[in-house]
Amino acid sequence: MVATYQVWDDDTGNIIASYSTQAEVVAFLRAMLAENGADGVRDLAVIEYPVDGSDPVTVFEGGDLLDQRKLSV
Amino acid sequence: MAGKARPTVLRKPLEGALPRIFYRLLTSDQAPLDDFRSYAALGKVPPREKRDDSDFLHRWQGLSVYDTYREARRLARARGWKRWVYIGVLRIPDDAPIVYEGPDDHGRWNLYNADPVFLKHVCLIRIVHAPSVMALLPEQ
Repeated sequence: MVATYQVWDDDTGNIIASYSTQAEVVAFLRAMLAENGADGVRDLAVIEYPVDGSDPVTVFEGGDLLDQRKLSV
Repeated sequence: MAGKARPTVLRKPLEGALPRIFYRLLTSDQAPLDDFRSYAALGKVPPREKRDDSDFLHRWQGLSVYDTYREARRLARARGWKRWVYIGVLRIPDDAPIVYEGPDDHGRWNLYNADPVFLKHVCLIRIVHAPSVMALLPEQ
């Protein structure tokens, strides 16, 4: 079993993408930022489901996604 | 999506199938219709490199629901109970023209062809305030 990173949209309450590595999810977020600008990522959050099955946690959200330093994985 | 495995796809109607119960996060106990809309309904544009990925574009149009109350609640808690703090119990009739796809490893399904008015006024049978309700048995 591997960790899962899911991209959650706080505006509509939907998971819009899911990846097995943080690098993949960051690449997706960068692409969303390039395509839709700040408004395209402001409502997104990344939820990590840990490999040990423990409760999911939010690892990036909202304004964090606009801070390139926090996307440097 | 994580991994290569494709989810189970159930296309309605299925002969002899029972009504399905799903759990959908909601923003209020009034269940506004916008709470039943997919991300694609917002008109957001997929990243350029995903526009030839038919699977991705398909999932983009899905409405996220969960097959257990526990998984829906875990997600709401992961978001710090910030906005999606209610969980609606949806009973999808056997003959509803809704396509279910899932589950993933965390009990998430996508619904397609799911009219928000139909979901709210026909399928929604219960709304729970998730922060104050630890467990919920699905109604039979």
